[in-house]
Amino acid sequence: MANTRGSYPHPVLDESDDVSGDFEVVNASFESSSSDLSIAFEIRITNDHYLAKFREGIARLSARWRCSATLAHDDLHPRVIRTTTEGARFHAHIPHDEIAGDVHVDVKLIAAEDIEAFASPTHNPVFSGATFFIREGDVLADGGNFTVNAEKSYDPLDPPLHSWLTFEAIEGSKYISIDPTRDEGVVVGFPESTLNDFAAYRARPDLQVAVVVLPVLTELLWYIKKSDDSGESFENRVWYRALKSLLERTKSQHHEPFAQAQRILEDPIGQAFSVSLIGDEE
Amino acid sequence: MNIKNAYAIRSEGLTELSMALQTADSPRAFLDEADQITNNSKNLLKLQFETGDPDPLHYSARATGQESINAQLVYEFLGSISRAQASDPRLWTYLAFRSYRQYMEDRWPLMSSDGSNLNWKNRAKSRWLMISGRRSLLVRHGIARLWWAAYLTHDPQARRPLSQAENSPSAYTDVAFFREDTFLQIFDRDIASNPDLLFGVLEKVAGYEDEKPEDFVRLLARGVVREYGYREVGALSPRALVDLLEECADYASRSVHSKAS
Repeated sequence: MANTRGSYPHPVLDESDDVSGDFEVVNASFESSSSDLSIAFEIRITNDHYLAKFREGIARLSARWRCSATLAHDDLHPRVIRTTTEGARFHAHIPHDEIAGDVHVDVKLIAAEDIEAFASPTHNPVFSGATFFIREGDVLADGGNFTVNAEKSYDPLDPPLHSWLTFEAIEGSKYISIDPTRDEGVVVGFPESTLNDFAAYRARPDLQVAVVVLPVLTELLWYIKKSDDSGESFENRVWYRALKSLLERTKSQHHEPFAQAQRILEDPIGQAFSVSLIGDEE
Repeated sequence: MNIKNAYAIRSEGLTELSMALQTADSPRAFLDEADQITNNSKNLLKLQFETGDPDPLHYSARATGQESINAQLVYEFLGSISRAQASDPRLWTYLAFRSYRQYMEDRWPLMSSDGSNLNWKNRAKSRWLMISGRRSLLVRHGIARLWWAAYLTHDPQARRPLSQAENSPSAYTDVAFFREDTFLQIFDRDIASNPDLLFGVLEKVAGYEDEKPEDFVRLLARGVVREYGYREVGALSPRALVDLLEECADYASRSVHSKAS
């Protein structure tokens, strides 16, 4: 875990001997999907005084990611997925639209608010019981950083269809829904059980496309047709521009939406049936 | 080619441009070969969005405010592309060599008008050609710097103080381009990655009306960056951030005066 020590005006729990014990970031892992980078990590605090400050909320976790290629630096907003005896395990997501190349995650404990006279029995004796004025945001413990490469499964300048379709479970829903109102992509909402079943068919993408993507795409193309007829503009939406480009590439502009969708997806129903027939013969 | 779809250079084209720059013995020879490379359709990647024809950018060393206008034109031309797309060197290289060629020759000429020596290869590498996307290159590239500055400082609802005072969503963009050294002091640092911090710093720059503004900006930026050494500036509450900026601006102002006296 990389850790370049800053110049601190107060003791900091890190790899130096300012404070006894350790503040570590361990078991960092990541997984990349077409829409985002999923990151998980655990913090371990082997200093009871600082652990208590963390549990009390006087010290809080700061997990921030930075990406030089996209001039981005933001809070990871990690969610606690499990509390451990010496800390907690966290999970977070970064949209792929925000990152490119290396992403560095800095993990620290910082003061949640000003602390007038901060002292700890775990400070190095050289501090001789001195107290320190700690301001909000001051680093109390530094776990260093880890680096993740935001390697995408597609080219951001030439993204495939599925890159702007996201599938989400919508609590309480009975049927599949489509939300085309977000600028960055289309959200296909599922009842939770149906989404699980859909995911279970990942070995049969032809069926996923024929059963779900085809009707969704048809609906979106009707949406475009109606909006073009009414003069409404969705130029600021990624999916709109991508679909318009696909219509041009497949020379489908003058067909009806259902035919357009099948041309874009290259005969998805025919493909799904052909795979099934081959399987039955075997 | 009357371009309606947006284009970028393919990676292979970038490599060819890079090699052409290495081997060319004059700016004219390089640009001639670059034109062949960027006019070759096999080197072009058609993007999934349309832009139409770009409005021309203008440059005059004497015209203040022109770069801010140029930044807004590039931003409007490309529309809302993602940060990931906007970090792509293939896009910016294409725009520099093709879409905004005249502007590049006026603003970042590779050939000096008076025949004097110009370190043209270094200028081509930093302002025209982009091989990888990272902050230091994005804020120096001739076209990328315009888009990024506009993107990071645009206040479309004019909610922030300067935008309201000037009644303009690009008031902060104007400040960013007030001076070239101001631009790099701010944008080639972590300050540019934190929206609230960036807008706050630009407000301080706009509000400084005393002597040696270039020193004030440098000291202000340095003071903020120094805080990053022991404080998680990005995690501060709005109130704490305001206090931080006040402290840094006050220190910068006093330092300018003490140097002057």
